[in-house]
Amino acid sequence: MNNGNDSRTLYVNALDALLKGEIAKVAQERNFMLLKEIARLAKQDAPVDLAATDPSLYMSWRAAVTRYHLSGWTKMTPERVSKIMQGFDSGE
Amino acid sequence: MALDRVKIEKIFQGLGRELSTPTTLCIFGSSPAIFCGQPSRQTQDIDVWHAGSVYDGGSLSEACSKVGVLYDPKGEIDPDSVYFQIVRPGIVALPAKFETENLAQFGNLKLVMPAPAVIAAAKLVRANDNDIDDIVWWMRHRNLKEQQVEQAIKDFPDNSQRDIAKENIVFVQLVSGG
Repeated sequence: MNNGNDSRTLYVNALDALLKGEIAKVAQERNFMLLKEIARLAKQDAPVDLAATDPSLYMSWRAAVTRYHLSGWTKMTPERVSKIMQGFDSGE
Repeated sequence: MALDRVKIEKIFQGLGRELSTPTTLCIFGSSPAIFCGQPSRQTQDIDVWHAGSVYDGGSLSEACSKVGVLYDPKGEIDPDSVYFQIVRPGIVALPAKFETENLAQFGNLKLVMPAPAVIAAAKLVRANDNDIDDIVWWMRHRNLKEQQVEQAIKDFPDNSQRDIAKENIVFVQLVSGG
């Protein structure tokens, strides 16, 4: 059964949320797996190959990463989200 | 109606010109962040914390009318209008005393806001997606620390609101340096 968090689904949903600027909505839902993937996509930035293969997505992705930083999410890295998730696991 | 920095500043400039007596307005909610440069937001209201403000109601109402904004409306309003909402302790319960920051002086109008940590703490109580966006923006743009927000939460008068804010501190932790 697809639990909605397999890696491809996670990637697609995270990119969609990043492009739409819906990070706060994901945070509100406390979907930390998705937040971690959003943070990963923002940190890695748009793959340069996309500039040739899908220029439109490349530009949108880069613009979304810019908005990510301007909106204040810079410190939400994948490592930061992992640390918070570990805190939940250890009952902190 | 989207409020942005230019629109909101024009409103305050106009009020400052029209007010005949010295007036202090303590704005909170989303408008301080918009005033400080956060990207525009679909909002119509500028929240004013009554207890932190010093104004003559008649004079402020008249000045609002002259600059084309509504003063504390209680009925149905045009979706394109901008209005001042005068907020007294109730569903929103800021601390009885809190640190404020001067935002600007426009003629007779002095504009202040609660310290960013107080704004962030207040937003943790409701914590909808707009509130989270605001919290994240303040954390980054004023380099707030988690401890500052925790301290601000401690000053909130309502126990249940303090508890909710503490439960939602994770939204602060996501963008904290730790």
